[in-house]
Amino acid sequence: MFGALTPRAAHWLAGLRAPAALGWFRRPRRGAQRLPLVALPPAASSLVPGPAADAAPVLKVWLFGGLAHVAACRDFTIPLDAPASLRSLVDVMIERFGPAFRQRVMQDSGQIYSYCRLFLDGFPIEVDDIINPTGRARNLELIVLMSLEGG
Amino acid sequence: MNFINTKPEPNEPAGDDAWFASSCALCYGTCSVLAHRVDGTIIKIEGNPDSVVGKGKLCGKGVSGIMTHYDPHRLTKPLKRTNPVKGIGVDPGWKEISWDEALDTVARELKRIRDDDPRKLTVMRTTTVTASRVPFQAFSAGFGTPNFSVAGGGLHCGNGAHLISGIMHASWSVVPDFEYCNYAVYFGASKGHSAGHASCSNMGLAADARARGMRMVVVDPMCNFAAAKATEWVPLRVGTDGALALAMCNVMVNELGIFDVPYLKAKTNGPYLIGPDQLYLRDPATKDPLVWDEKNAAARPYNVVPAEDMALEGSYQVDGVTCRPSFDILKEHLRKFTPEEAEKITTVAADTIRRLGAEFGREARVGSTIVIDGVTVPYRPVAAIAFRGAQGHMNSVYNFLAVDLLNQMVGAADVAGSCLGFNPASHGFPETGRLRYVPKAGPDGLMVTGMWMGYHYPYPISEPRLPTNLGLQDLFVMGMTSPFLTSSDQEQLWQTFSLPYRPEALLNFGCNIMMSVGTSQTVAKSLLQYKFIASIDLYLTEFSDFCDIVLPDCDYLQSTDSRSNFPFIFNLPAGMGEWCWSIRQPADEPHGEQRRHSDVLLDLAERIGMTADFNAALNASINLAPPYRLAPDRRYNWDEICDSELKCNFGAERGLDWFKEHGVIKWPKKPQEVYWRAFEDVRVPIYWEFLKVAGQKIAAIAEPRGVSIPREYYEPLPDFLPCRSHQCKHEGFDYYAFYYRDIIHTNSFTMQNPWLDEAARLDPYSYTVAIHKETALTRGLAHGDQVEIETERGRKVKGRLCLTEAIHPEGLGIAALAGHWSDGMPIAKGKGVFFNELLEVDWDHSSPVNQNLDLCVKVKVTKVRAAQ
Repeated sequence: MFGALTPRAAHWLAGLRAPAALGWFRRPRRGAQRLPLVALPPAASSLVPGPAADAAPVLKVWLFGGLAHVAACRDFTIPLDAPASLRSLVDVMIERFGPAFRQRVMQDSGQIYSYCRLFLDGFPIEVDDIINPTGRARNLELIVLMSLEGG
Repeated sequence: MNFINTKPEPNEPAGDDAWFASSCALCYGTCSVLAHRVDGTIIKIEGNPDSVVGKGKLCGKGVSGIMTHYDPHRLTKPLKRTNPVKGIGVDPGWKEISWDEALDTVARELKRIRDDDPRKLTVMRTTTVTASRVPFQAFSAGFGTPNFSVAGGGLHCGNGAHLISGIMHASWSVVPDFEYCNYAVYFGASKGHSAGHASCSNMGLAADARARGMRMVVVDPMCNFAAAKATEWVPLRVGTDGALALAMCNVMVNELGIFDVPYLKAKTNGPYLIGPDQLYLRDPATKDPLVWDEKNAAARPYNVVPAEDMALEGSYQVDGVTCRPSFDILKEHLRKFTPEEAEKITTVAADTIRRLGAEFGREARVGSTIVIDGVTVPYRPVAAIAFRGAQGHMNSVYNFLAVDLLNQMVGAADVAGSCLGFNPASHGFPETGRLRYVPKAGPDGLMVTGMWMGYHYPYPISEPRLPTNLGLQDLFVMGMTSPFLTSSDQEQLWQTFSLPYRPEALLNFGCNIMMSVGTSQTVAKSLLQYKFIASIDLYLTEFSDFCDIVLPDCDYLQSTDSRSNFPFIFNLPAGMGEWCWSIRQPADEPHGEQRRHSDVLLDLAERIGMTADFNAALNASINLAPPYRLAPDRRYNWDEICDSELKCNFGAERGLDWFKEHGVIKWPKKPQEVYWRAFEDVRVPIYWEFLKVAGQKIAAIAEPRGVSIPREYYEPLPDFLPCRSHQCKHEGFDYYAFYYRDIIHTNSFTMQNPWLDEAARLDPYSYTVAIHKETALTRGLAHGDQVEIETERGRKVKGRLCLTEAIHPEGLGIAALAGHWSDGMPIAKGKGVFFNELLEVDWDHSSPVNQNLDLCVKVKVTKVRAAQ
């Protein structure tokens, strides 16, 4: 189990317990399990800024901090009558609010920045998660939380 | 132990006698304390034995906190500048004003900027007050600026240490597993022997370990706090730690053949196949890195091959491409670091290097196990750690990575007895499930930290892009804190990279950036570009000379914080024991018109019209969940926010009042948490393929604009790269000047504390310049001589020599960050040496990878006046 032991090293190691597997050799996982992909995202033209009706199947999106500034928009509403992936919704926002918005939330590669935090009904949500309609308005919050520091 | 929770009132009647469980803030160690108040006066501060953070111990700084608290030079009223001329030593003409006038002035300026472009605001906070991270980070995010600074913090201590500790150990820093470690090598680190992360806890743990027989080797140009207690001090040339560590690795791996094959196969990217372009060979379909499957004699993606079947050595042909496992390449790479070559670089004798490498390999007991609390875990009772000393250079990344390779080669990473991150895995508070985090596999199967200070994780690194922040971290994506907020060439760099705006306002909390980064003239010039500067502080400092408004802060004995420590990768001791959450609560009222900085931010946010943004940022920063999330449209006070966080994490019955009464909450750690490496399916990179890729992308952006990116800093395997100081050949410049963290002081802050100042004056080193006795005498220099220390660029400071044998013959050691000149800190004024005055702050003196400043400088020492 050791590497190419020299006699000297072997001498030192003599008497030690034989190594055990100890979980070093766990079977690999075939990638992280992900939620299924969803239906097509709503078209950009379907975005309707304004308050959500309480019982309507809508997603109310809230932008905070620098995102609200570049979007010149605090909140808007998206119809949510079918499951939608969060990524598709972010794509819709990028299309609507332009490159300055994109630059704050997404890398050139298309990855959402880890410090762009998203919350659905107050709980953290990952970009590959699915937002399901619940028959009532849901709230999605976005904020960029940069923090580069040491100490 | 329950604590009397009497809220202090002004004019407290006689008979008041109360203890308050709280947290220190004399350094970022944030040890738990008990403050004893009698008749309205705090008369004593001692360690809280109920807490794991400090374990009831408190250092000299902590017990001296009373003298800072009652310092008559503390600010008590808001001040407004009347002299529009700013400069070093220029009297601002301070005028006392009301809080309303002060806050209206600040809010007006900030609102104007926010309406225009929020990025024109820079927010800066001291790392000494750990708890200030949340309110200031949230304020910045709510405001909408990415420009956040901690002045000298990070630039001087963490850009390498935290980055690599995060990538390799999923934690902010590393430490030996004191309870089980038998052999620890410290490279420019002082964990357990000075201030900083989990300082008082570690002091006890380290002392117990030494008493138990742990051998401790300290590699350092100076024999001070750690080395003085070590089994062995190994003096080396300043800034050459990486060369020594790589030579030790070579001895282990190539001369002795000691390395942990199962660990390297299962827990590192050692088996990943590397092509001639130095990049991973990838599966055409999945793009996953390939390994050589020995059982099937084929190249297959790493995530479908059992680890034991992965080849670690050899050369293979894959679709006509010759490739080798990255470990095989590393092994060959190490061969050039012979002890004999390393001796030339480090001045450490080849025989010593060979012995140290052999001892480390032997003591690692590769393959052994131990049973802890009924759980069998790998046992590797060796640790190599580094911190401020080793990583404070241009070659910061490679120095730190080279040291950690010692651990990685023998599997001594987050297992019993080994090099541990500070609590990288937590299964959460049992009653609520909150505070759960574990490292997870990210791109290419490499580890992503479960918890980090903020969400800008060290891995995966971001895509380099044209920068839109002042520090250029958008481009230099492995930089955490940046020198370019204060560098002499910042405007040139901003023009080069077409930065679309310029900073206009600076909001500071507690930083004295005039002293904490580099030479004062350069920093002063950078401050003059701001149209408006406001500062929340305890004193008028050298930085205050550049401020327009100064606001008097409450100190830690007058404040509330629901998380005085960051959970749990910062100040909770590593190793077995207990999880512990501590708070800060006031033991005294504000003096005069002092206000708590967190409440000042809430007030400012309301005046600016950004309460909703601030609340949202706070929700995101501390992960408040319903029903404890802050409503966007409600103005809270800081106590309410603290109460929400505590209830959210620990249940409705455990809010701020519960914590004020009980002090801390604790629950036991499990071996699966502490020694998580065996239980989580993640790998760490011993071959930094992503660094090569990042270098290429950065160069593609920078070089067409005339900024050359030195590729040797972006190679996948660590090398020894000399600092500027190593390349200085001017006659007479024959000492490597460096500073070290004085155990008596914290940064530049505590020189104003009379007790600590007295201790420093009694200490032979704190306010002097340490120089090797023999080399000094050879040059006609004597103990007590006044000397001038000059750099190649003509920067000069003066100091008094202390001749000692406890320093490398080429070293010139200066303690802490002294040499104040502000009248606002009269105790500190004129004491000690202002080392940072010698440091250039520019591109040429920064790491082109992680932006770390080069903190060593070649100097000439000239006698000014003989000792009296």
